[in-house]
Parts: sequence; structure tokens; C-alpha cells
Amino acid sequence: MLTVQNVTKTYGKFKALDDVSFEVPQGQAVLLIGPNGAGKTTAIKSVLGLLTFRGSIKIDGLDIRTQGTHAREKIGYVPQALVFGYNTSVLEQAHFMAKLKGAPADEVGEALKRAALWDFRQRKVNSLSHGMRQKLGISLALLKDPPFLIFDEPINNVDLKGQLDFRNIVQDLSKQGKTLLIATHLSGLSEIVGNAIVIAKGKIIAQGTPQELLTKMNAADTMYLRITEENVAKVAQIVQDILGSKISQNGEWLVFSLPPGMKSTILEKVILNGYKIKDLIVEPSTIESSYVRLLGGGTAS
Amino acid sequence: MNGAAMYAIFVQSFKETIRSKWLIMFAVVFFFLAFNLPLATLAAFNFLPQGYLSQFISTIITVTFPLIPLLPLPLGATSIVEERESGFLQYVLTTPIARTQYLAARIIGLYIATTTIIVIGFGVAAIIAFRPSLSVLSVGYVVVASLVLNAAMLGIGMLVSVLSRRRATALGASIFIWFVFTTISDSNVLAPIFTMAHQIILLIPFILLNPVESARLVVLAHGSYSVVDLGASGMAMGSVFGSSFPIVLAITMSLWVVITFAATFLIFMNQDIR
Repeated sequence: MLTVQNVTKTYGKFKALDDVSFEVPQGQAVLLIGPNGAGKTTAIKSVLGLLTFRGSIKIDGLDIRTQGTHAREKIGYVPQALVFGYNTSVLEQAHFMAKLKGAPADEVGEALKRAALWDFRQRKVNSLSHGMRQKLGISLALLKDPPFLIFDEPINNVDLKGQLDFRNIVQDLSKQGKTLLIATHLSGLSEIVGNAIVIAKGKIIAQGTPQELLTKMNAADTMYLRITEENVAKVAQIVQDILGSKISQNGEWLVFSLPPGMKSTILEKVILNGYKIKDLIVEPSTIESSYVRLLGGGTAS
Repeated sequence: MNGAAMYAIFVQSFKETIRSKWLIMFAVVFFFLAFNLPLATLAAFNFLPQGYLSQFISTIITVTFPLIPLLPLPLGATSIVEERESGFLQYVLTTPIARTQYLAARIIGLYIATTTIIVIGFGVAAIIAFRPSLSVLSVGYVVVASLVLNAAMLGIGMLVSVLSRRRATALGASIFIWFVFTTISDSNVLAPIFTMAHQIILLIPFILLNPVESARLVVLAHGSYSVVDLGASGMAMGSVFGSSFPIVLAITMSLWVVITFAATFLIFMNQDIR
């Protein structure tokens, strides 16, 4: 559905995108992940034809530079912050966007009802909460049923419920066969996508399925093990022997990182040595937490 | 051609512009400039001589033409940059509308809104005050010249808008441009200087490069106006171009419109929408 080939975007001497290439296959949900300033928004704006660039971007075979209007017919875009130039009502704004997208007028009512915004149709758009704006943004993006949806930082400034709602929406859209490209610097979405692209300082540093990326990035789960106080030091020694590195201790709790697949080995060893485990918490690694570790909290190495 | 999308943007652009308090204020100002109560009263009682209307129009043109740019210049200059600053422009341009269509619809909306204000302001006042003596020809040139001046100023405003990054900068630039056209390069200011130096010919480029002065001279050249009305710039133009100077001015004014809009489109088509 989307092919990005050798795209370079410069602002003076600064390279916002440096020879970036990736694909988003039809029907797949892809996460574009990276710290702030990595080049995610530049990549998305290039895909939408808003920026000039070197290289080639095609949407369903249509070149965004020469066939931009036709290419954008296939795209529904949900911006980071939905802003409206004119402070009209939700219904007026929806009709306005429907006309721009060439959607029939009767689709507007259905879209607002689906997003539970029909009761708010007379409200001024600029008075809507962030969550409601996001819902409106998604329902407007879905007008005329485009096959490809692009989300730019969709869960920024959205409360927990909004984030969960968004996950459900993404899952529903995936089931409908939509192609999705989601740019984010926040965690919590990697489990629901088929592919992820990690970008830093304008370059793609890794791409693949979440599992492939976790392997590539030497991802580590975090295990919290609670042992009776008199045995903590002995169990700590067993774990250190297996992992070959020193681990943290806090009262009855032992905290350590371990590669995926090592959990059962450690638990087996502790139990076979006759020690009782009082509690156990496992924090699985995510692409997001791994890239933060990999990039040292925002700086690509 | 995405006609429905263009129409939607045109309607939004027109509605939002016509609602602006700046525009409403101008309609009132134009009305009271054109509707001169003492003059209308004296005319009603036949106290005024034949041909008083052309004399009055000459005064009106000199007073109001420098004010016309204050309508399209700031509105044009803030139009695109404001939407760019808020992020609305980026959002609109992610839909299937082409940039040329968007810009054309936006310009048409702005132009018709500002034109409506000029026509309502002047037109209604003229009809109320001078209906018995009003002829199409007597105000025809005024209307056409003010509409071309409006277009030229809107073109300059739009050019400022696509070149600006911030609304405040664009607004400041538009006011400065207005100041340049109406004060710094005004022939009333420059003419005495060049006359003192016996170089009145030097006034010509300043006239040709000033759409406000060009519009004023085009109108006055077509009426039965005196040398006093035309002023030093009219004499300078007449001495160089003879009786065809209104045609030269009409051409330069048209060039202002064509060049500014062409540059606006060219820049907007090829610039990053960040």
C-alpha cells in the first residue's frame, strides 16, 4: 500500500530524513516509533505530500508528488492535535471535511453517530475535549472509507481510557482490513501491530515484527521476585550465577533483567533448591522500552 | 478538478471574511466617506453647481483610495499563514484537494468578500445620496479601478502570507507595505522634492510602482478633472506618455495583479507545508 524509497529531507544542512526506505503492506498495521525529533512527523508529512523531498513515495502505486490528489483519496489522516481554522459546529465541520473528501452528505451523520458525537453535533469544535477531538478526527478520517489510515502521535495527551479506546479502534480497523501507519513516541501500541519501524535522527535503525525487533534489540524482560528475608541473599546468588551479572535487592524483593525465555530456567532452579517464592511480577519488554534503552533515552548511538 | 471541495473552501473563506469585525468597520467607514450628508442635503435643494459630482468624486478618490488597501492587505497577509500556524492548512491539504484549487478558492472567497464591502460601502452611499444625478459612467471607472486596486493589494497580501512563518510578522509586513504605498512613496510627498531638483521625470517609476497612485490617476484621467486634481504625478505621466498615460497605468496595475498572484501560486505550490 505504501512504498517509501530512499527518501531524504533536508532543512538547510540538517537532515530530517536520511535515505529512509520502508514499506507498509496492504492490510497491515505498522508502528513508526522513535523519540521526539527522530523524523516521524517529517516522514508522515512527506507521505501526505506536504513536504518536498528527494526519493520516491508511492501510495497504492500512485506517486505522491505527481498524483497527489488521487493518492490522498486513499488516505485518512488523523493529526496529532486536531485544529479547525473556523470555529464552526461539529456538524458543520464534518460536512466541510466531507465535501473536501468527496464523501456523500449522509455519511456525515453515520460517522458522527459511530463516534458517539451525534449528541454533540451543535457544539463548537474548539470547545471539544482532547478525547472527543480525537474521536472526531478518526471519524472524519474514515469518511469515504479510505483503505489507508495514518495516525500522527494518536495517544499524546489522551487519558488512559482514551488510550484503551484507541487500541480497540486500531484493532477493529485492522480486522476490517485497513492499512494503518501509526507514528508514536509513547509505549503501549507495539502489541497490537504487525510490524514496527524504529527511527532515530532521521534514519531507520530497525524494522520488522515486534518479536524480531525485540530479538534484534536484545530486549530484556524485568522480573521482580519476592523471597523470604533469610533466603534473599542465597537466591540472589543462584540468579546471578545463571545470568552472569549482578542483580538488585530491595528488602525481600530481587529485581533483574533477563532475556525472554530465561524465566522458567530461573524459577525452576530456585524451586529445585528448596526456596519458596512469595510473589512474582514479570514486566515484559516492549519495542518502545527497548528502543529507549537502545537510544539512551532519546539519543541515537 | 475537485469542484465541490473548491466551493466548500470558497464558501468558508467568504463567510469567515465577511463576518470579520475589521471588514464590517470598513463598510461603515466607506459608507460615511461616500455619503457626505451636507453635500447630499445641498444637492437635494439644488444649491450645488452643475458637475459638482465629479468634483466630489475627485475628493472621495483622493481620500478613500489610500484606505482601500487596508482591507485586502491585512486580510490576505494573515489568511494562509494563520491557517499554517494553527495546523489547519496541513489538515486541509491532506484531503484530495490540490494546492492550486485550495489557493484559488481561498483567494476568490477573500476577493469577493472584500469587493462586497467596497461595493456596499460606496454603492449604497452613492445610491442614497446621488441617485438623481448618478450615471453609470460617472462611478464606473471608480468601481473598476477600486476593484483592480483591491485585487492588486490582495495579491501582495497573499504573497506576504505564503512567504511568512508567523501571523504577527505577516500582519506587520502588510501594514508596512500600506505605509510605503500611501506615505513614503506617495507622489504628494515626492513631487515637491523632484520639482525642486527639476527632475519631475523621476516621479514616473514611483507612480508606476504604486498601485494606489496608479488607480487614482486612472480614474481621474477618465473624468473631466482639472490639472489640480491630477496633481504633479498626473502632469509627469502626461509629459512622458501623453494622452495614453491611463493605458500605461492600467497595464502596470494589471501587471501588479498578475505578477503577485502568479508568484503566490508558484511559491505555494513548491513550498513545504510544515
